[in-house]
Amino acid sequence: MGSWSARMKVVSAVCGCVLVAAGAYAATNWVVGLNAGSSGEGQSAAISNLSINAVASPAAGNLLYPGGSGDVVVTIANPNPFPVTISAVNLPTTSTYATGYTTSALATTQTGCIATTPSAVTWNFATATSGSSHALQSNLVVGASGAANNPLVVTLTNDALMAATSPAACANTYFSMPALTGVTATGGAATSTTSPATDAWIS
Amino acid sequence: MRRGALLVAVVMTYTLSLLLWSGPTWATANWTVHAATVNSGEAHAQALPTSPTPTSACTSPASAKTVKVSWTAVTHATAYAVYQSNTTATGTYTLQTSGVATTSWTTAALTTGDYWYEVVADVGSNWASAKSAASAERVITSSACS
Repeated sequence: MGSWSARMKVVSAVCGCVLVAAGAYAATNWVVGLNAGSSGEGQSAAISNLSINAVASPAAGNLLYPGGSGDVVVTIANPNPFPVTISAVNLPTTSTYATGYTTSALATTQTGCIATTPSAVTWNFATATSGSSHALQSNLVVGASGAANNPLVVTLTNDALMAATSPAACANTYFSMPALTGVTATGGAATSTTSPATDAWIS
Repeated sequence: MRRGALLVAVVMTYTLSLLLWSGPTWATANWTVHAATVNSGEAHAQALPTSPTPTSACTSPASAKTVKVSWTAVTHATAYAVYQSNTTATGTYTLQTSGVATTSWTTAALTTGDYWYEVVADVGSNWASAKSAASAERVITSSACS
């Protein structure tokens, strides 16, 4: 009788400690490291970074012009074994410019229209502070690795901005937008967004 | 007692496995995922603006010897510039005015001669269309415009 009580205490103590730890893990918010290509690790589960890249198709519907905005087309790949829901993006500063290319393949830079010229093409609604957060009009759900709608192709309506000072060399140019500084995302079961999708941040 | 202890252990182990390995763990976690990217999207700029199509007309009264130059609006144009030739339609054109925000402009009183006009559309501070085709000829005599 006495020995069973001791075992029960041990089992209960161990299980209780693990449960508390698991509960704390489930409620914790964390930030994945800044290094490109790095992964964040939260206790027993590793979170891999999303990859957001340019894609030529579908073509942008709204084209840039000096003093105007245009569409940006992106592809978002999720290497994680669970869907990821993106609710906001973090933008670089208003002085972080896109580089222009001669074709949609983004292989040859456009003379007189690169980031250091500058092209005067930036993310719309960016601020002087790097990392400003901008909520999407509707959440984007990228399917789990190997699932449908991963990568997810998204047209971000009028989320690129060309300043009135953009050089003439930037006419009819394709732009590789500056890297986002991050996205706000939640992992977990969700119905993936059908690709190709349309979304935007408007402030 | 033994059965009770085993039951407690089984239930707690099952609950623990659910917490550690099932969806709800992820579903309650929020985080900022930093995108590992070389670039973050593709945008495309339109071509340089098209040229306007100008027309010219003598103002009334004709004795004022002034010409009103009008042209078609160009999408996204922020201003227009007007050039004038008084030699031939294909002669040398000189800038008469720039920064015109509307789609017409009227000359001052002209001296005797033949006049043609071309218009350029500006978008922003650096983009400009090619010069337009020449407007129809206007003739200024000592007494009138025709």
